[in-house]
Amino acid sequence: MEPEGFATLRAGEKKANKKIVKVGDCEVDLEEVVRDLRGVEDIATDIIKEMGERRVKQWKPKLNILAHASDIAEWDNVLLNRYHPLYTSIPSTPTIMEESNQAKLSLQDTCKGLFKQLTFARDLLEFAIKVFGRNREIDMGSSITYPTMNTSMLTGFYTKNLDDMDRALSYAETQLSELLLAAYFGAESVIEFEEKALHAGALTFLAMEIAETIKMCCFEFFNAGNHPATEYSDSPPVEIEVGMGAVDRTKPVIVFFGNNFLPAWFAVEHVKANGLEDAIEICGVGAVGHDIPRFYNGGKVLTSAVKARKVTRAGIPDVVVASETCLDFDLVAEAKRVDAKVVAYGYKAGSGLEDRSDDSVDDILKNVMENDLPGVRITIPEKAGELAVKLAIAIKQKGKRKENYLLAELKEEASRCNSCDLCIEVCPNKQTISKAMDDVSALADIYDNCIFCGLCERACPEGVPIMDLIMSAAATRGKLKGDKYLMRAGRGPMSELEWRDLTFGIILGGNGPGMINIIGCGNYPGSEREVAEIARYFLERNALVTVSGCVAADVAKYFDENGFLFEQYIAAGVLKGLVNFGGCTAISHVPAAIYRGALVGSGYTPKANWTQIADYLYARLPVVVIMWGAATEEMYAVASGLVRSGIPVVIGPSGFKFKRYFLGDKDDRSKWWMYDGVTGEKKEVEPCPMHMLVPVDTKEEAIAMCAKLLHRPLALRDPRLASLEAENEAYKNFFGEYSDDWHLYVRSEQELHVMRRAELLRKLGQEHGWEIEGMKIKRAKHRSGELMDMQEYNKRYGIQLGRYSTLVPRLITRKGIK
Amino acid sequence: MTKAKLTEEEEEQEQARDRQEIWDALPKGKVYHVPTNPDDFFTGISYDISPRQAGQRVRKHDMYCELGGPKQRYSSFFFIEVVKGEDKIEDGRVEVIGPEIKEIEGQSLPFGFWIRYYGKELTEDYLDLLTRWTYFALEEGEGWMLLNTRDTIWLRLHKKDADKHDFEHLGQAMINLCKIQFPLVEKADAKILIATEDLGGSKHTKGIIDNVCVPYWERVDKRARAFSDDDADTFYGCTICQTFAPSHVCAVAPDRPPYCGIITWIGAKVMCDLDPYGYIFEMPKGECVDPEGGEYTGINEKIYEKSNRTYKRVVMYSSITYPQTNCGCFEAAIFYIPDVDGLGLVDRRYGGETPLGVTFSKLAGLISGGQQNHGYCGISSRTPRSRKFVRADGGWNRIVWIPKEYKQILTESIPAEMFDKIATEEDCIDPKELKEFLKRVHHPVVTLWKDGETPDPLNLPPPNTDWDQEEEKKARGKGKDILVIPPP
Repeated sequence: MEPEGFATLRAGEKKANKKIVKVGDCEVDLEEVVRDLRGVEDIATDIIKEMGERRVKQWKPKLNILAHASDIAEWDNVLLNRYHPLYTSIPSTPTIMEESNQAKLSLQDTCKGLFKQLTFARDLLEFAIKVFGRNREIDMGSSITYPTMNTSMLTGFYTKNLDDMDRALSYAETQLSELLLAAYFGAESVIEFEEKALHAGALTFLAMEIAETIKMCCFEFFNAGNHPATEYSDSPPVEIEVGMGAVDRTKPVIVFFGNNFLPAWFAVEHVKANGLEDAIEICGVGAVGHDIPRFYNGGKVLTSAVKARKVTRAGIPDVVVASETCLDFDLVAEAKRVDAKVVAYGYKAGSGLEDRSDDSVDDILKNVMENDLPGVRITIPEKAGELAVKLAIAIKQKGKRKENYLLAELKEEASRCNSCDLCIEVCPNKQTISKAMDDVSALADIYDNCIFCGLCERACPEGVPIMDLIMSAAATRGKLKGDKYLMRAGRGPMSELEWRDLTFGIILGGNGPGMINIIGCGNYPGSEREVAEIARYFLERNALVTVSGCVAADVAKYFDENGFLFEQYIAAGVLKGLVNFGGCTAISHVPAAIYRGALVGSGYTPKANWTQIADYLYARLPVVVIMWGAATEEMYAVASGLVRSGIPVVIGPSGFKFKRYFLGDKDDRSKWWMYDGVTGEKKEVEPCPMHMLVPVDTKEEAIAMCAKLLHRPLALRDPRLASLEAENEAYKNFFGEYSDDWHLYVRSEQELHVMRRAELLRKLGQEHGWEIEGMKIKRAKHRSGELMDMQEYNKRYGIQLGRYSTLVPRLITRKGIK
Repeated sequence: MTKAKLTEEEEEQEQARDRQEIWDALPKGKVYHVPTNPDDFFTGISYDISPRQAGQRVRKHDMYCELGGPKQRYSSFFFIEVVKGEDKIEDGRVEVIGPEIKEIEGQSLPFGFWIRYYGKELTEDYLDLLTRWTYFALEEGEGWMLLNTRDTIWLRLHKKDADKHDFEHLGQAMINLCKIQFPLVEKADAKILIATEDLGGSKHTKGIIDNVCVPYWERVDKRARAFSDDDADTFYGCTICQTFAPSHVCAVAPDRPPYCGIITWIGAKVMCDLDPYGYIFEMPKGECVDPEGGEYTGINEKIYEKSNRTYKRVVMYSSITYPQTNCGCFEAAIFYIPDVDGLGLVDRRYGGETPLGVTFSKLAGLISGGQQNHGYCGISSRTPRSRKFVRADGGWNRIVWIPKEYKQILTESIPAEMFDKIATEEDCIDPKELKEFLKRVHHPVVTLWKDGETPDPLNLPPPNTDWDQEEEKKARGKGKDILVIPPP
């Protein structure tokens, strides 16, 4: 007898069993909707029913349930054909590598970013399941209609409980193994490798979202979804202290490093349970730094992860708690310099310390204090949290801690410098360190541009403690005390309601240029102020600006006579709003917020419907992501994921470290077209968004590029004016002249800003050969060189305003309905 | 009929003569001739005018000077008129009567801006848009706070921007913004009166308001109010939202503003002229086949064509039978509540649940996407002010539930006798309780119930399908029955 199910493998059996779902008077064959229906029939049925009759009649539905990379090839090919990957990194290889090999490296990097996030999400999920059980419900709050969209876009379902999350995460893990295989053993074309890299990027967002959602729904992180829209303008309040100057060092100080918040969460629980809120300082660096204020408003954000060493060198902590990742130096040695103790948490961050997870907190405490151990390793977060608090109090009580280095003592150390200038050579920010050795104010200036990476100290043949010198000089000049700012804690998701307002501001109307999202790890040469200045530039011009990840703390550092940036702008996701989504995993709110923008109005399903959602927002929504700072693998994966969603990414400063870009060629007219969504006619459109992943070097370039990338082929009249003015103003202000292609975005004099209209019309006439009559365009010059009247021009160039159009043949509306 | 029209015209001419007399009799000020050549329209203006400056507030301690507003008991005016007769206007003449900005630091004064436009084809129909563009010089002008309009106008100038401003250039900005936007404007002049004590103070401005502005505004408002769907031969279609919803078309009529709330019939008319390749087009009404419900052959034909042959019928004043379609970006929504056979209204500020058991957001998600959802309709928050508001369904007599805050806003539009009969979330949300509430207050909708006890809900067809003819008749019958119910 054949085993059960075997019969379905035989030819013919499958065909006979059509899976029909009836929607209204329409019959949909699920076998045509999903590549392989086995195991996902229930999901597919639900989605098709939710879509409703109108939708399934309008287009041929296609669902990427639990998608493999190639399931979304339909969309990836559109992107990769228009923006062919460009590779710029050929490290230590004398010969030029084959393009497909570079693509392979690009996939490897993206996978690294993905598995970092996956591992963290898995750790957290396992812990949550242990504590709350698999059936623990996940509710994003009543203000959120579409919940976990990064997940549903790939899997076809929202994660409504921890069990769903397990299913989604297992799916992502399987995908990762598949991708890794290709990344190390695959022989594929550039496009195939990059398709997979984009897929890894999308999966990274799924992983981030799972971690982020567990934080909000199981660990009481602040979540705007639980609040009514009326509270959004000032919620969460501007009350979180940022910077090393905010720490009261007369109290015991714990500093949490890394990206796992659990020890901090349990430390705070212990603090609260014992009424120690006013007696102890709970601080964080990097990802965990931004997490703490979301469940404890006494939490302080000291700096971004890449500048973590600053905090130890300043001698701030009594206890440091390290969790895996976002930590790239020897914390034990650093802690020892200032007599602080280390609690290393987790299975992946041993730091060479003894694992004491089996012992009681009080035993460990006694042991560490009596024997002056450098620290211990603990794999149980409750224990790590409690121990950190008790240890910090004990150390403070003992009062034996070394004072900070005094400048006078260091003078002697500095005198060993023989001006070999090796330090200057290795400095990533090219600071003239050796020249400043005996000059306190010069050293203090270096502090402003120093990320405390430690390369100079390692390079110094005389062993001068250069970072200590810089730190002491800065402290002498009051720079540590002055490092004190205010920000809002991360708020979590942006609601549909906010998008309804935003739709009027940037989609139907043109009161603001768009939505600018700043993310990143925050290490860069030059001033920390630059990233804040970019935010401020767009806020002043009525954009919605969001920040997430470590850059939020740098944006917080901006202040002028009107106060801190977070005080000057409201926290709602509307025009002139400055939204802080939260740390690292909260970056998953960026695409989710933008998907909501696509859903408000369109009513498409965000479940396993990648192509349609991406196609929709790519051509319509004026949104850009600026990635500012360290080009880590994680950011590489994030950038890939954003690009796949149809969101352009600007990377800087010194964005050329990024190795792979997606640049468009505006001069190649064959690349810029769309299908009329009704007739299916292929039509030439404006070259926009011009790039999908583009490097910039300076703040000014970032602003100008960002403005340029706000153009969309399907933007309506007023938003067209807004984005053109954004570009023109930026180019004129920063570079003294307009771009060489601004005229390609003009379809009517109504799109020219009134105060510039006469000038621009004159330019159209004189420099571009258009025919101008009074304040009106009489005839326009088509890209073919032909001069034509406006009716003809509008017919031959661009999509008629409001006309439904698409880049995907499947999404041309079906003929002959009704 | 001819006689009545003549009288109206005569009244208009007489008013125009009076206005000219008062204009000529204003005290002499400093006269400027601002650029009239388009290339130089904004030459010399050193402050920014753009949408990003919109909505700025100037607090008291940031204020350089204040014009009009509550401190002056609103005795100031911003008056714009369309002048007949080319020779009456000297193009580009701006006269500043009274002190300059730099001379009034820290002061609060009454004022008047009197701006006149002429064009061969310019009529008072364009007044709304001329006003809008003139106001933009302040509303979108760097440093200015502008609140209210007409004779309740209130301006403040921010300290930090004061040195960028003077009245000459403000006058230039106001008239040239309008000119650049409307080539129909051929000539423009302005008088800016800053009514210090020696210029008669608020007495002077008040006199102009009473004798010039108010009669003019009353006349144009009356005409605009009287103008209804029946007076227009053409409605306007808008497909701006097809980008979200491929089969959606709005028909914009004087009595039926679109759900987005950003376009009016008159606005659409002007846009259609100004921007012929935009997304607004003419919809000749054709024949009226249903005056009560507002169904027209011409509109149906155009809807069919522009919805890519998806929808054949639209009943303009109904949310139950063949309502207009919508995408998701409406300001408010009407929804049918089967449990009581009545209609609810909700706007997007309301975050709680409705008697349908869903929030506005969920409701909006359900009915968006360019579908014709019988029983549901996205509307502009101002639509309920229309005299033809859901007339086919029974008008206000069919409305049973509105969130409290929105109801407050609509106070003037809701017939007084209905006001207390419409429940809010504070009275009830649950349909069962709503039913009891309606019985208790003798809501007209109760007369539709069997024996005044059991609601007999309509059998709504699924979205995008036609009504069963009998059921449609029943639906319309109910609307008719309830419309004529006299309040008890």
